[in-house]
Amino acid sequence: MAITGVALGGFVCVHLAGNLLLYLGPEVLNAYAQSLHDAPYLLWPLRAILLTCLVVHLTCGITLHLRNRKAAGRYVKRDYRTASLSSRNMLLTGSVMLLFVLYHLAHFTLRITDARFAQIGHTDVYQMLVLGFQSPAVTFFYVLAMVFLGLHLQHGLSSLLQTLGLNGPRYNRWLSSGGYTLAWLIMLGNMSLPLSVYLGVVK
Amino acid sequence: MNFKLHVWRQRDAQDKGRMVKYAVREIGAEVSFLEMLDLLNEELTEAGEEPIAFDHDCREGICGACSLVIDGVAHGPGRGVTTCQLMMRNFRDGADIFVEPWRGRAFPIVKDLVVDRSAFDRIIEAGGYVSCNTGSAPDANVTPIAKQDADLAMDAAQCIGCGACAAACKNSSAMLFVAAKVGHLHLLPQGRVENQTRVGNMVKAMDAQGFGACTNQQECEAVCPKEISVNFIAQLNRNYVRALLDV
Repeated sequence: MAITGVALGGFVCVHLAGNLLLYLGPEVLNAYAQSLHDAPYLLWPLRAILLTCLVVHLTCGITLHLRNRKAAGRYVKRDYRTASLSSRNMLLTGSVMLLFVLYHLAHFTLRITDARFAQIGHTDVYQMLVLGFQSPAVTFFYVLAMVFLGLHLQHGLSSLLQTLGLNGPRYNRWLSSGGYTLAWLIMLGNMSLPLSVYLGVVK
Repeated sequence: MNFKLHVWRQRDAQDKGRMVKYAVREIGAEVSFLEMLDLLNEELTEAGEEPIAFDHDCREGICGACSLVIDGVAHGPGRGVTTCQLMMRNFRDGADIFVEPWRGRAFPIVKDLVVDRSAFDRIIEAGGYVSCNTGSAPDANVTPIAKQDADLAMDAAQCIGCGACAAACKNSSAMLFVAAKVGHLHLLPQGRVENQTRVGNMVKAMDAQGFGACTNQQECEAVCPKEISVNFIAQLNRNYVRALLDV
């Protein structure tokens, strides 16, 4: 979970960094999109690695969940002392993320959910974003999905070093709060994109 | 003080079990939780009813026999204490108190609040030992051990094997227990002979007993009566990878 999580989380970071170019105007963002398309020898192997990581992550996650559900005791009354909401709902937040990723791919990569995209070029990402987030429903779904991403990453990023045994008592507090901060920064950064289009900050 | 108890009653391993309500009255604030149950059991016995079965032994927090989940928390509302060290002053007068046994596939219920914890014994058998000569205790300081290692090993060795970690875990994982045992033996020269095989064997035994897998929620550390740190779990993971890679 941790190793594939690092790869998927790393992708989320790079993906966000690329998308934040939206704020630098259509030329910069579209030039970035074009440069990715111009490098298929880089793009496709990366996509293959990502897909593999996703499949492994899903398989491990579901296996882990089933195994733990079988082992777990059911209490009439249970009170958690420290286990966070996010750590207790990784399967739920992860499932929402999977649905979101499928929709997101259909929306902006395969471009089958929005008829207006047929008029625009594949690498005119700027125009796609501006058109895509005019709809309140789409914008709301994206923002909501990012809440789930934030929750998923909050537990994932703050605990993956524990799984790998790469943390230590001297810097654990920093690592864990660093994971939290990074998760919330990624969430807010991603949320800002559809919101700023919808609210007309980016036109 | 008066309390309304909701206690898990289960005749035997086959029985389905249910929560039963009991009213306990005029309990002193300085009475321990187990003494309160003793008083209730006296009343039940006098009334010709079956007393509530629960595990206990030393009643001073060192044996690891007592095992109750009180109001949804293993060993109840106290911090760093076992159930037997919990006093009724920790509860509000007139409170409803839920009392349940440890739950989990690896801890089958024997009767009422008593569970079978021999799964822990089988994990210990798989690697919780050292291969060295025994006999009379050697003189102190014959084997040189760094102070920080000795202190850390002692922290881990405080584990009394009560099972609260696994009982409190959402996944019923016994990672903190295994980590404490592995941690304390790994840090000392006497335990080093089995370092390469111990982690794998004990983790395998843990899985075989039906415990779940750790998902880093740290609920174990929060309820551990000896406040054993989840840092030992990180150390266990580290040792596991090391043994796997044979370095």
